[in-house]
Amino acid sequence: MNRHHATGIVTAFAWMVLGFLALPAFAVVPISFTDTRYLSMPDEHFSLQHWRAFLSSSEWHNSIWQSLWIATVSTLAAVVAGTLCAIGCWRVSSRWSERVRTAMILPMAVPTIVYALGIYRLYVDLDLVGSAIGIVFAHTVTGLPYVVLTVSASLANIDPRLEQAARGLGASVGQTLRWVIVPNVVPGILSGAIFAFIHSWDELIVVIFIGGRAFFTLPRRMWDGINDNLDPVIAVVATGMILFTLLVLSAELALRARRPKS
Amino acid sequence: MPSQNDARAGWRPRHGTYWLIILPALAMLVFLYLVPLADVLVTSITDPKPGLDNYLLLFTSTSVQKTLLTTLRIAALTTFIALLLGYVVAYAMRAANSSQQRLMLFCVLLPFWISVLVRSFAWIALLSSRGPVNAGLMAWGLIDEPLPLVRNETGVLIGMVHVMLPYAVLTLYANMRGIDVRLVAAARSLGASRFQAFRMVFLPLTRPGLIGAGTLVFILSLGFYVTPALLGGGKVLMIAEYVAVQINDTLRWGLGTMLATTLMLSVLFALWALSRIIDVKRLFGA
Amino acid sequence: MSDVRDRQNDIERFVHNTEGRIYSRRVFFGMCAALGIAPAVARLTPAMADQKELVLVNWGGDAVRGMKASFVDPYLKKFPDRKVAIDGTGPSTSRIRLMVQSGKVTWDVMDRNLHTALEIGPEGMLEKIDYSIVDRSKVRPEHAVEWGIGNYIYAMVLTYNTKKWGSEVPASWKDVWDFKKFPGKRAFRREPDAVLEAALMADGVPFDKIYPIDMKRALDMHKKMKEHAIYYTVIADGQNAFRNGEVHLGQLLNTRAWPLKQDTKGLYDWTWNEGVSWGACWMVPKGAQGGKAIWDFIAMTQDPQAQAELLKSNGYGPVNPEAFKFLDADWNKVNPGAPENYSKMLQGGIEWYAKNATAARQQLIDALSS
Repeated sequence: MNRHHATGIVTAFAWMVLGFLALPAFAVVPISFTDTRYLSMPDEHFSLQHWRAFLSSSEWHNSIWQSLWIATVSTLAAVVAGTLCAIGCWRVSSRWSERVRTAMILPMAVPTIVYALGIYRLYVDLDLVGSAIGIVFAHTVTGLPYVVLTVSASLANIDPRLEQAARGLGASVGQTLRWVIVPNVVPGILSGAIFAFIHSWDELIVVIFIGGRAFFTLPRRMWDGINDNLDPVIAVVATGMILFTLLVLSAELALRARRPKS
Repeated sequence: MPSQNDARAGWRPRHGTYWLIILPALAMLVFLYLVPLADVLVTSITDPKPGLDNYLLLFTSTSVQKTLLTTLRIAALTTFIALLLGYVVAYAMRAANSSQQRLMLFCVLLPFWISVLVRSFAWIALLSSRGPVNAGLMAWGLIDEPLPLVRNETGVLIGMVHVMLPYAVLTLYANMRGIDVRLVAAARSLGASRFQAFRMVFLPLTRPGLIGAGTLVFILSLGFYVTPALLGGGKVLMIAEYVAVQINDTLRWGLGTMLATTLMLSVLFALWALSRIIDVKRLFGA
Repeated sequence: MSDVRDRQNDIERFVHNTEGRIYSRRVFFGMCAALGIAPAVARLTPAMADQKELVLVNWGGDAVRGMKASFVDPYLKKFPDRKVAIDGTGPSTSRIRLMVQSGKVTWDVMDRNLHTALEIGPEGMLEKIDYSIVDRSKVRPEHAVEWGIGNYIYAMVLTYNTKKWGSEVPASWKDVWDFKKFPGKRAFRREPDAVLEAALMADGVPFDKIYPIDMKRALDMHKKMKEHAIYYTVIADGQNAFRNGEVHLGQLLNTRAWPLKQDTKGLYDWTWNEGVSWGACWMVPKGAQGGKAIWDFIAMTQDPQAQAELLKSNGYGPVNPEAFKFLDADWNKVNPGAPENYSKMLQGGIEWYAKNATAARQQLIDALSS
């Protein structure tokens, strides 16, 4: 088998898998233009009615705004704490640090509903039910495992002697982190950040329990729309998000193209 | 030249700083997760009456056993398929040029923005007996009757693999990017075939990525709830939904929390066992 | 002094705008301190004590809009100085239990059903209905119990495709279990109430012999049904399965069958025959803070005209039989509480479910899971 042949097959197969990943998006985009009052392909013609409903609805805007900042703040917190924790465990590398790292995975392994009961009880005592800080805390701690796992996987490729060398040359722990370790685990940090963000962005159960009436995040609003008649606005929101990612990625690509290659 | 042990001993005092940076995450975990969780899990031995009766159900209740087995089977299948497909995509991404890479990354990130709820309904629309997928297959003459692709275990698997695949791809890709390509080139120059170079050099180097992605996907798969409920036609019951039914709709919190405790302990045990089989440090890296 | 009063107003407005909940108590106290007021002044003003709003909890979406128009607005017209907030986040059993156990009860009136009231009332989770203010005689006797009072009627009805089998349409559960005469996919809810009853009716059990339910007999019928049916967990999903042609006959809520008929321009229809009717009801969590306002509100919702309005906005059947006088014949066609429809249906056995719902649900799920 020659080189091109083998790579070609792998690439073709990869594109098929990517097509599978994109498939529901191909359903969601036309659904957002449906002329019916429920989630379905357009019946007779394309209609902008649900886009209009979405754009003029302060409820949806509020929900998006709430979800956006809750997800952003809790992702930042989870990324900072999670990355430091993963690096610390990697560097200490003792039996106890291994235990800590394993414990960090727990929030992924326990059904959310059970945690929701517990955090509700705690927040009633602390008077944090229906508070922003309460939701951010809950989403941060449940987002941590994603960051710890992905950063740890990235750290696996780094030679520990790199750290040793840096310290040997007189770098402080802070400098070593900043200049030696973190730059080497950026892909892990980024995927951990995406996972933690999506975790918060999509999280419904905990918010139902501790959100009170003040917090109606996007998943909660969607669930409200689904329960009645599968409100097509949820397809509009999804399409909007797809457009937004497309925009960000192509803007970045355009910027790269303009920058001269070094 | 100091021995490895001496070097390690020399590092010890500095570990204090590293424990310090572990602390914020650990404190959050303990106070915002473990403490409130323990408060609830305790009901598994106190509700409806004190004792281990709820745990006996693990051995006596066929419905609990059946649900656990279904969950394990589906989670394992999902993990296997997601790793296989994810590996190919991550591998192709690594080899692709920069603009192709962007497009691939876009496709991987795309599903994230469609909430799991909406995706389930999209799959129902696409895969149902009158949906476009079956219509297309019939138009090409590949099948005569619509395939039952949804409202059964097949539908659950399709939906779950779709949710999990981006996690697998991104974790594997993050790992593969860190691999020094010169190692593969070196193997080739020493006379290894492409496949040999892949199997002997590249594959072992991606093992931490595979283990990391596998752990992530498997644990997440155990907790699926919405997707099986909608795509399984009410006939595929996984543990998270079972727990939610016990807690939300009935007063049997003891049973629900017992299952949650069991799930948690099994995951911890599995991680421990994994760390025995493979090198402890390899589990998460290090 | 006026300065302090201004600040106090600011705080009250802030508390009101944020519903008093966005920021934690500590942040609130911090703010008070920053503004130069002792927290006690801000918290304990009589104006705030009077402003305790009634919190009505239901299942969201259209129910929020419908109950606001037909119940809350008339109530506020009658008591202009009171306040009502609708919380559409769903009073699930788990959340009621948690709230009552925590001792900090913020809900006042909840929209659930009579068999749940009978199930969790004896567990100490509910206040008893104050029948000195709420009028028991305004509803049918079966719709008033110790811990709950009916607020509307809903029914699980046989819903079917009108064109699929030529001129034939299924008219009874026997027809639904007849896979030869009426081929096609079926749909049931994955909950025991009404689903078990349908199976027994199909097996020839008359209305008066349905309860106590013979579980084995009902589940055997569903084991036969299983491969021909989907069992939906989300009601909107069941409705959708009909609408997109996945399913041709089965059981659906009357409040969903009606819009289904409209959306499909009559392709789907339903029959009240052998439907199962249930009473939705108001329940009040143990330790609710609303006081007399709770019972005033509930009494108000019994008004036949308000009940008729709710049918028009949401399709919820009036629980007050007098309401049908305020409705013309067309509206009564979709009204499960209209005497001619109500009499065709089986009355859901709330006492049986109060005792057996948990076990029945578990056995049904076990029988269905592969």
